[in-house]
Amino acid sequence: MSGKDTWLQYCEAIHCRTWEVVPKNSVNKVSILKTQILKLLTQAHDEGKLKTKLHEIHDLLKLEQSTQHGSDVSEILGGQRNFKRLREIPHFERADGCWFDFAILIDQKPKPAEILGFNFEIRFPTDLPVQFLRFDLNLPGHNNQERGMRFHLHPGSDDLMVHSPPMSPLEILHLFLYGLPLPDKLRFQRNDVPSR
Amino acid sequence: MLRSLSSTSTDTLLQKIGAQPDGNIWTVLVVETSDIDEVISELSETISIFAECKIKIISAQSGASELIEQIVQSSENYLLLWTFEAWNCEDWHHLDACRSSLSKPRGGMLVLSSTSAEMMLNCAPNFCSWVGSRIYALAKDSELLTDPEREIRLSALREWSGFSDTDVIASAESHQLPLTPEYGEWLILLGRGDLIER
Repeated sequence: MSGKDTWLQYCEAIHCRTWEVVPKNSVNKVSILKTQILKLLTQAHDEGKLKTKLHEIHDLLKLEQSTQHGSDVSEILGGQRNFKRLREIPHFERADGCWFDFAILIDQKPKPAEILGFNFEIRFPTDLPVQFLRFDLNLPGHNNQERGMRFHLHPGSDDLMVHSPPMSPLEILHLFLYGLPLPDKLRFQRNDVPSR
Repeated sequence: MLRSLSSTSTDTLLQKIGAQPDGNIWTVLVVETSDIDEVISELSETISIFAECKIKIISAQSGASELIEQIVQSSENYLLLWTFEAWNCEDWHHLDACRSSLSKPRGGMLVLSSTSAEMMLNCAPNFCSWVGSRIYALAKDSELLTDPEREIRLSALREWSGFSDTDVIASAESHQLPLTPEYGEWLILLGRGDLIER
């Protein structure tokens, strides 16, 4: 077996191990998770962490349902799709200027409901060396190679990804709102790099 | 009178409840008769998240005396009252006279049809005065994506991927669709969530 095959096996094992311990009690029902998200965003607004106004939260936090053809799949939408990372596209914004959006896909047929996939992306002010972080949970599928990286993190590049820590949607949203503080001073400035 | 009620979405209503100070504060929500069951089911699960307390649903179908007895006996901090459709003016008079019995640490909510709300306004003036401006008409489903909002998202997905809706459905049907969440969203927006592989 090649080293690459072993890595793919590790990926599968890491994904399974991660997914097993992700807290899932927040998705008993889509309406409950959406209300928990609304409460969290409202609370962050009231505490001055979120600059987005209450009526803007209503406009950004939406629900889409696909109940035809025997399915009962829903999506909680937080902000618009913003592939080009344009500030003018509606999004949630922290008081310190970091901004984010998210989307969560949920299958309501199983009880409790099952998360099928999500994106959570936070973008930082332009003077930080890392421009964004994105947590993705890819859809379940039959591609083993992709399944090993189903739950992953993009550390500032769409082309780089590493396994994600085991976090639920609510935990990632808490991280975006209350974690990831902007540093007063960058620990390591580009100008500090010693010349070789 | 009902026409002048302020309209509120479920999300706004929940935020209002969450922003209320601790105290015996009551709200009246006017809902389409055909939606009452669904609204009660949803509110029973979501109000407790914002009110941060246990809630109890109490049916008023056995009349005012029985309802007041159940309210007094309940230990929950917030009450959700419904099924007022069989009430006559006398029942509302009774509730009006006993409004001091409606005393809970976080208050509660009456969910009424427009017919019941009209009767309440005519037959329980003191109760209505006590509730004050907290009588709302529910703008149901305002949290659902609208057709223009759906089209904006679909346009963004088409531009990002270079594919058409037909391409995406064909790929999903042949189990070739990439597994990134964007494609799952695309199927949901097209009403084809059934094609997402499990």
